[in-house]
Amino acid sequence: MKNSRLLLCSALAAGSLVLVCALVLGSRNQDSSRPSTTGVSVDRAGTPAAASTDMTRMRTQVAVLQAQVAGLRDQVAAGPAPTADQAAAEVVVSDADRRAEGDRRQAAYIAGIEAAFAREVVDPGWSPAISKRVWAAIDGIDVMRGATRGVECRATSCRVEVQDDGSGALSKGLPLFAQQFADALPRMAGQVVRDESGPTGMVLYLMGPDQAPGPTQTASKN
Amino acid sequence: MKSIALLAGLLIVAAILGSAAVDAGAAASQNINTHGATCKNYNAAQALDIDYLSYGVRNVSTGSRPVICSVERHPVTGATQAFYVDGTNSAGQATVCTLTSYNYSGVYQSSVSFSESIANYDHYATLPTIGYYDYVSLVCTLPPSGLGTLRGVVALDS
Repeated sequence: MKNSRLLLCSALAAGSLVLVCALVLGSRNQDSSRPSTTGVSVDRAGTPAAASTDMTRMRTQVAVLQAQVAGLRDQVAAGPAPTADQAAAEVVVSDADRRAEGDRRQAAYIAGIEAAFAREVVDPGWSPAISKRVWAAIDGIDVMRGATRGVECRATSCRVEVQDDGSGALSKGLPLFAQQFADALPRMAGQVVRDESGPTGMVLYLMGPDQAPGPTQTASKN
Repeated sequence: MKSIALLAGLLIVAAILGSAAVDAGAAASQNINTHGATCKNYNAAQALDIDYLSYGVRNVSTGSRPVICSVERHPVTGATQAFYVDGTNSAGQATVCTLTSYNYSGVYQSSVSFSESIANYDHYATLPTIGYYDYVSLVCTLPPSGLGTLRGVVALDS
């Protein structure tokens, strides 16, 4: 890695040097051969101020390049690269942080949904009809029928409590259960319920369509 | 002479800067396309009902059948992630799909579902919440008799 970086920087420095030399050469040739529309070329006219400006600029560029090369030398002299163990330790710390952050974010997201659900007032025009539909979907999926402990729909979302025996059957049924509400409650999020013995079930929240900006305002396929 | 020297210098610098620009472009777009033919029958007993094509997967039984697809994705740092699901339906048919995310320890996180009945769909869907290391699957219930084809799914970088 360090070698490749050194190689790249050296190539950049070399390329820049070549460019500077080319500019110097080109400038000189241009100055000496350029036909003047006024009949007076820069050199012939004896305008040292312009030539002096060019030289000053080029000296500055060379100085910058020298400083870059010196910086690279310092990096090489700074010491050996981190060992594989050191690098692995950094990755482990990073992974742990990311996982913890993911857990925190999920917990906060569910807490927000719970709070929003708690604030909802039951809509008598929506709640009974959608509750009936949720129960009908539950009855149509064996694992859901046996696992569901309660359904509560309020104004825009539903809360479903399900028991999980840990066999994987609940997870198997969830996507097909969710598909039953693709039109009205397309989003679903869940939280595991635990007791002293471990996970015992889940609380699922069925929610309406996302109100976030559509694809034209967000990420592109291209 | 001056032209050659100038051109050589410019070419070297342009090559170096150009390669850096290409790398930056590659890093900026990390969407992943997953072909529909990688999907499998969702229920063990329905393996022979699922047919694979060079342009996707379809259900050849006389009843609707679900398939499950692994959705490859880069671990992304955003709180949500968007996807495109592409496929076709014959007239009067519909395909219903659910994208689901599970975290690294197998805990359900969220899902989003949709139904498409148009002939050629390119459906955009966003998972409500997703973690950096989460796994994502797509379960689609395909119409019967080969009347719908799931072409694939694209995980968008975020």
